Amino acid sequence: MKIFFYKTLLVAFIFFIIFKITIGSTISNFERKAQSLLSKGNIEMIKEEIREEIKIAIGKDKFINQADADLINSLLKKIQTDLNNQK
Amino acid sequence: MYKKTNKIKNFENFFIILIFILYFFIGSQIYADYGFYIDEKFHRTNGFYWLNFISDFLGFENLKEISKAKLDQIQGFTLPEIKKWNQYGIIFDLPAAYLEIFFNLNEPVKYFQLRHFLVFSIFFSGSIYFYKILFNRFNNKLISLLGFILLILTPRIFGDAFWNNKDIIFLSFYVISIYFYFKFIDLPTYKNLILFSLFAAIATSMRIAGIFLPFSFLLFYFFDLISRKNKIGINFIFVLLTSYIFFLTISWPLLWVEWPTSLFSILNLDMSWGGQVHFLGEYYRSQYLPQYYLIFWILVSTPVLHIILFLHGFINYSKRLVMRYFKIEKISFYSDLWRSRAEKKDFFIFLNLVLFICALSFLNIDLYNSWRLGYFIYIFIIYFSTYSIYLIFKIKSEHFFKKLIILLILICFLIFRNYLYHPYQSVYFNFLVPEKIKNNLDIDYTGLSGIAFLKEIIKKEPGEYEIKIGINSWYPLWRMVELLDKKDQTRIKILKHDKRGEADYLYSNRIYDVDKRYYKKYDIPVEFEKIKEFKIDKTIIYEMYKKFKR
Repeated sequence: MKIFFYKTLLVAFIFFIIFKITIGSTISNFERKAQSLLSKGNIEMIKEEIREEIKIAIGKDKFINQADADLINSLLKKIQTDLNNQK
Repeated sequence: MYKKTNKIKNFENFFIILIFILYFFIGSQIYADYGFYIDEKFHRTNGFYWLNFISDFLGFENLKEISKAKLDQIQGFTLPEIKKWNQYGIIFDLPAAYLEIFFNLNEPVKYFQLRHFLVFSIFFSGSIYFYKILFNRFNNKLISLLGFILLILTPRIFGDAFWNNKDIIFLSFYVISIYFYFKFIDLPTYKNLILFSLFAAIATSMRIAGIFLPFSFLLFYFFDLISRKNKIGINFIFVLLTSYIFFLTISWPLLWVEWPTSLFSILNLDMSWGGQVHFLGEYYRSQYLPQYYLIFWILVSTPVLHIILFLHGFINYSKRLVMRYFKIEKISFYSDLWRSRAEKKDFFIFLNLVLFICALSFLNIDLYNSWRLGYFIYIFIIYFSTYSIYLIFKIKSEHFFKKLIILLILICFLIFRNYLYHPYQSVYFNFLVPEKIKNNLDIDYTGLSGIAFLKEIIKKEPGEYEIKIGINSWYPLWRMVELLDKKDQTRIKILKHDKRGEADYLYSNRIYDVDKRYYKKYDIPVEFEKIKEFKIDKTIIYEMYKKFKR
């Protein structure tokens, strides 16, 4: 009984340590990354970044180059034509 | 055989008492040097809240009114609401609140310094019990005294012993509980058992980790049971459990209100903190810290002497334990994990150390900044350091005086390091830690430097005019203003975070609630320039910025 008890205890302890160092550590890392991604701070940071980028864009004389402007223009026209055809 | 004469014994006792008195004397001279930490105001509130509750319960009308008046006077817009956060133990806060009334202390500096002195007094008592634990185990005054010196000269413990009213108090009561457990191992009487229960219950009311004390008692009872060398009856277990629950209830008035639902609410207490922990350049939520966080902190903030002694003692003991393990036999009395009472005590400490290190490292427990929540583990570390000294001096007894002189020189170096860091021993790093690592960790997370910063600003700007101060870190500097002289209090105006651009000076203790690398909340406004980095041993404690008109 005594030897069985001590051996069980030791095996359980070693199993716990190995599990925590390998699989437990990986799970913990994923949890941390998910939490960090979805945290309020992170969302606020992204919002702030978007605001900054908009400010930069507004400050520029021209922030869409000619090729992109043509492309967007064509896309908008296409959408408009399709919408009209739906009527 | 060499036998000590009474004269030598008396001299030894005199010398030991002299060291105790010297430590108390030094402590009583320097306790006022330390800064004030951010939770002190909350704990003062906790003290008056429960003093009011108890005086109401016992019908002490006068005390009830005074404590109510004191409670109403405490204000602070970021102070946690006491009715929601009343789960903290009262064993320190309540007597401190009562003594404040008893001595009629009305100045904030005075009553906070009284609290600091009380923390030191309790730690002093705890450290004497630590000496008694070592003497109980090693039966040698010199070795026990050296262990005691190692404990009190550990800079982080030395510094925290003057203000940390949670972790240091818990450590002290944990030590006292272990002492009575050791006494119980030597002499299983109801007196020792009840004293063990009492101090274990008090420790539990401070920090829930104290619940491990009765559990470890039960675990060892079980070990004894399966080894068939149990001398204590089941009635002891009954007395332990009933007295532990009784003392826990007495020392934790929250349990008086609703028992046992309050106990479950305490166990489920959400201790998670929304801030970020800065660790080696990365920012983590407190419950998602790397598994090596605790061990890393212990290694960088413990003196090298202690680490070397600990490793020597711990490895030697582990070797012995492994040998014992492989020699376990079914019935033989001597073939077990321990042979003598002394070895049983070693195994108790070993088990505590290993289980707590594993639990705090692997179970995603909130450790906040650094390893202050695990300071009580330090007594197990010092125990094994002392075990190492025991092996060095007692087992291999040649060159006794040479070894002693080397150890004393190293202790002198420790004293010097404590002196160097004064009064910021709480932010100590050992001399092997490079500057880059030190400054990529949270340092002044309890905000001890806040008051020193304000005093420096007052000194820099003599006169009567107003000084506007902004805070560029996660720190309620406004709680420190009441600790200044009355005339200076009116001069200092602490601005809200979003108004910090209008300040004359900015303060930062470099603790942030967001990932500073991506979040711009703590970017320094362009019109400010850093004028000072307050450093000790190349560790930045706080930064000071001044506005320059552009």
